[in-house]
Amino acid sequence: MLKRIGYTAGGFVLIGVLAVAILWGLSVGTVQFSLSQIFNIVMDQFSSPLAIDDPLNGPEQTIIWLLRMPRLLMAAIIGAGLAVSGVIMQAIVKNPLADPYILGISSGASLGATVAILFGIGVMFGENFVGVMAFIGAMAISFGVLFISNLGGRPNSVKLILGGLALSAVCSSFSSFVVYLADDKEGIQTITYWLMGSFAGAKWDMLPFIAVVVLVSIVFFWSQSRILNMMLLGDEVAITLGRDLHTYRQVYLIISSLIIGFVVYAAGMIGFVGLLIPHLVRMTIGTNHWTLIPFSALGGSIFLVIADGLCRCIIPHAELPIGILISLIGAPTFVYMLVRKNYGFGGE
Amino acid sequence: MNIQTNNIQVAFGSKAILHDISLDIRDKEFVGIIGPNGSGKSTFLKCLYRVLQPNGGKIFFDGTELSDLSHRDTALKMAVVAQHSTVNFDFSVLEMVLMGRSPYKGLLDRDQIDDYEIARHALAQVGLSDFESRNFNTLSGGEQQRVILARALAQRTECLVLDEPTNHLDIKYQLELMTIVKRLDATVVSAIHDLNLAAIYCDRIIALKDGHIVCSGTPQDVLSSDTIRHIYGVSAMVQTLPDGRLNIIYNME
Repeated sequence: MLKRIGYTAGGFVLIGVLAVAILWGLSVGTVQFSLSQIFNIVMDQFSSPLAIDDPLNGPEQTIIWLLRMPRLLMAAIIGAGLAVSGVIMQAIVKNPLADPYILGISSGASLGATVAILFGIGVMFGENFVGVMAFIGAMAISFGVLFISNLGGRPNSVKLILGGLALSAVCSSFSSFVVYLADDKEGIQTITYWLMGSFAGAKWDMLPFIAVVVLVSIVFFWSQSRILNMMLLGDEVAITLGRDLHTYRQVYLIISSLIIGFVVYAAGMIGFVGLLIPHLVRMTIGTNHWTLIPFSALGGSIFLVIADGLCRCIIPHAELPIGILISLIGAPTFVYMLVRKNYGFGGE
Repeated sequence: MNIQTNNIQVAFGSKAILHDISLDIRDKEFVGIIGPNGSGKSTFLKCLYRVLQPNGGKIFFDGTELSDLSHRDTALKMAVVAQHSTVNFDFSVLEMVLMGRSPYKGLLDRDQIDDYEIARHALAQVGLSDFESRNFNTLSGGEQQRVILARALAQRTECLVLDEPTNHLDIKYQLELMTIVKRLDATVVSAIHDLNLAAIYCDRIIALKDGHIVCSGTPQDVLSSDTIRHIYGVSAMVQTLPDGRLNIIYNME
């Protein structure tokens, strides 16, 4: 069918755009490279006997292969993960205003990071122990919300949101309490930076694992598009169409939290992508998850890759935290979408 | 398909909503359920379509107890047009109707050409062929109701449960919807507010009040001024037209 061919073509176009965006991302920054330079450096590596992190490599080799490549790939993976988990959260709570952090995951992650930075809790987890603690915080709060919403009868979207709200408040006040107790100006600054999110810490060794987790989750959710569509119609309609959503909702919530946990682990808090991209995609191709999920994934990737590139070239010789940039781009785009009449977010 | 209910009881907390509802709905029968607001019509229907678990009693579809059937089995046997509810997300009308094919699909199955044909046919039946690429949320309440009926039709089931299906429809589409459903040659259980509509289309009418079955029988049996006064507390005059149809006229008091 014509429509189906159109979607496939659109998908390939977006993959092309993503590739171009990554190339552009490789070229910009404090040191600029031309396309042919990038091509040579990338190709050299394949014929070079040296490992990519061998100190004998030239500085250009190091910049492309050790600094820029992993962070761009990480940005692409995390963008896809955030956008898709935004889509999923919106389906789980049946509310177009949800984002990946709606159930309080961000507060849990912040609390984890805060105690890690200020009290040094979790140092045994190694170099990125702040990320590990944030991951633990995020997962703990997800399970907490799930537990609360299961109390006193079956969970529904309202219970999930309110449970998230409550736990989120608890975590935030604990974070503030910890900050107050510690009275550590430097540590507080570190927390602030962490909250702005960054891909600067991306390294090759954690990339494959996160890539596998995120990609497998996305493929899983893609396979669930039928159920996700029904989720938007509500539990009662879903039952009359032959599915009880009870278990599905909880499984989706856990997998989605897992994505967010890893995102937080790798890059800190990156907001707005999970809200903005799903809406942009819905606006252009509609709500059917069969197309919404892959297009959101690609859209999220492209968005974060470009954002990461911009972060490195807007201010000369300095890097803008990506969280700031995304809010700067994201908020006006979101407002523009709000005022556009022909997209009602379905909220009418 | 025949449906049998044995002593269905539902209570919310200490408040009993349904008391011992026992019914035997025969294959291809058109059964209307009437009764004032809060009489338990929707609650009873919700038990049938499994959104509500009765506190007591059993329901049988073709002799099989409902709890022995999977949700998917039930969805293959029975389609539901529930009371109007809003959807927070924009689906196209065609996508909405295609969801009626869900019970026939495994998770990874795509919609095939014949699913599209069935969906388009259902849309044509409710007179909305030109609406297939419109967004569901931009339709009027009545149009949405017809799309939901189309979705139920696309389910191709031998039984249809309708909960006040004509609520948002103008008189033309009220009659049209009931006629479509009547022609389906399916078992139909419908909650109906409009007694004249009930009189035209139902083979049998069950009157509910305060969770009890007050009376049941053909429209001629049930729709008398006495019963109407008893159920609704309204004075009405029931005329029998020369061709045997009933006409109910309400009196102001």
